[in-house]
Amino acid sequence: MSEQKPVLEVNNLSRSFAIESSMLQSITERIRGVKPQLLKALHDVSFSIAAGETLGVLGESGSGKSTLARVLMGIYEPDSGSAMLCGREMFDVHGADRLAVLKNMQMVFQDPFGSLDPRMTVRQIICEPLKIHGMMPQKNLDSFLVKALADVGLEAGALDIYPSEFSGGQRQRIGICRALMLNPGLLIADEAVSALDVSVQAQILELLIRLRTERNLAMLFISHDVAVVRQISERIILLYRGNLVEELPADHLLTHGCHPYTRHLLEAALFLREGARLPESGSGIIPMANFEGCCYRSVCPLSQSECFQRPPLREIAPNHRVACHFARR
Amino acid sequence: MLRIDNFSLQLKGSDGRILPVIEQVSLCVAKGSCLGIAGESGSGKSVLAMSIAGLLPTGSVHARSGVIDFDGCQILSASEAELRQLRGRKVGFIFQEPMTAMNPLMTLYDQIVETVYAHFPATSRADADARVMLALDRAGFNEPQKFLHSYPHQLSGGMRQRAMIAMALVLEPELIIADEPTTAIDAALQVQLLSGLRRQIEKDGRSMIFISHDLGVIRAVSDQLAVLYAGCLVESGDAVNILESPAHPYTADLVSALPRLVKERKLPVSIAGVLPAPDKKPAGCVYSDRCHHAQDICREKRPPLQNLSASWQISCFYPLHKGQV
Repeated sequence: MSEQKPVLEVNNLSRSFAIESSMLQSITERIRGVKPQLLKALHDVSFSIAAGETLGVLGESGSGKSTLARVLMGIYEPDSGSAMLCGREMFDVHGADRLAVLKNMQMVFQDPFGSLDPRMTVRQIICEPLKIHGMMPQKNLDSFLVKALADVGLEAGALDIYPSEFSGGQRQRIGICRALMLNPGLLIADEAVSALDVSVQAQILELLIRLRTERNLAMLFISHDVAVVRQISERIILLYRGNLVEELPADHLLTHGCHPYTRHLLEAALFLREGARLPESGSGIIPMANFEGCCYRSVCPLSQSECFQRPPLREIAPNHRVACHFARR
Repeated sequence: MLRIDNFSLQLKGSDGRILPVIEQVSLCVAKGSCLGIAGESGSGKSVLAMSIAGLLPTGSVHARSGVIDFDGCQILSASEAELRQLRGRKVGFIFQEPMTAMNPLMTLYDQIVETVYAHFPATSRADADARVMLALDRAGFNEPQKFLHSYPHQLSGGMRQRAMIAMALVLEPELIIADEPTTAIDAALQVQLLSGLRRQIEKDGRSMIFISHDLGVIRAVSDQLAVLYAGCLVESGDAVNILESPAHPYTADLVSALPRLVKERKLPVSIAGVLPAPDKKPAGCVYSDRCHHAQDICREKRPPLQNLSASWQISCFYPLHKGQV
């Protein structure tokens, strides 16, 4: 799979935000010429996804997962870095060119209630991307839409109904249907199953896996749930405070995941999922602001003086990279 | 501590339909223990929690029967004044969504201290302060002094969850009702919050009802487990026993729908079909239309709650096993 040309290739992507302070403070700072404190939400993140491959993105809240999705979707501009989607440059393109690039990438959102306009029927919702990209079929529109709905497990009768009539799982299917209308090469799923009950969650995961196989769809699957990400992904990247700390095949996560943060997350997840012994809770307060060196330094059990240097992402086994001076497989 | 006996509840639907949302549920919470209530959304678990706290708007209730006895107080027949004495002081409620449960115009301190003054108007400022700080500390809030005068939108998701817990703990209630307090937070933070809640039970001898659709989370905090489906109690007993070897087919299906973290990767198995609407439940067993093991009798007759063992009840004609010795 890694032999193929990647669908998405991201290089050194960074994005920071000014840390919110009171209005008075920000005015006085501006008058004094003090630069606002910056929070690096994404810091030099690079990865790629091949066709038909699912890359899982794991991290806690505030790790930059959603910022990554938003930068890719063009909701935020990146500070630096570049990304290629299906061989075309994603940033620094505008107008019609940008629209043409973005056509290859669609998103499924977390909240099945907030992400569908309550005043649009299902027909209007799933036709919207076609209209925007000028791809409305001239003939047999209805049978085209019915087939699209059937693909995600919804019946033809759903077409002229409003979202409020549907359950959370069915709404998520509508969201997936909308994302697939343009036949994109890449699907970004940002916590797409987090808001659903476990029984429904499994149904949506099955659907995503079937669609991925049928359409050779590349997927960026973002979630905080270790078990879900491992189930659906081929490879996993772990983000911590905007830094990519580890990248490895999903099959190796449990056995070979070796960054101290990865282990911390795994212990917690194993406790919740498998009833393993409760890990010693080591994590204290971590300052929000940036500091030099390794992002995990202040809470890391392995931390030493070397950690004041930011560790490079080094390859410790095929397809396994880790950003830590001391982690061993 | 809390005893629910044969509790049934019918609500009025918006179009005049009568919805039997809870049917003949009997449960018990002992002092110093935690009861987990599991079920899908729509199974009636939140409505049950609201009933225990006497929080259901009377206008929407069509009929209710049975007994909810909290430490000698009959919740179903209690007056609003009696209930008000109970809520906050004896029963603390942790709501599901901190963003909607907190008042956006009040600071963290004001939200928590409000309960104190509501019950004890004569509390001195210093006493109130001490109570607030203690509650925040118990909830595992780091450096609370820094955030006392922050508004909810200025707090992170984890801090808001902890603030909710502190609000419920501030008057040291005997019973804590937690309605999905840790949905959609990452595992590491969940573990911190859950072990904090667990400490309340073990060290301070409080009781807790913990509601969630995630059986893994329930196992982490609960001693007892009750599984609700379509308003009916289908299985109850020791949490670990049930989760290791569920006897009701629905519990077993819920367990296999859970994404696992074992060495071998196996996709979770979804449960076909949907939860029936309260007024469209099957005539027989409520799970009969989705159950792989259903026989004719399951579609005709509602199975009674029977004992598998002294502490293990199940409502099924064909349990997956006969219980443990």
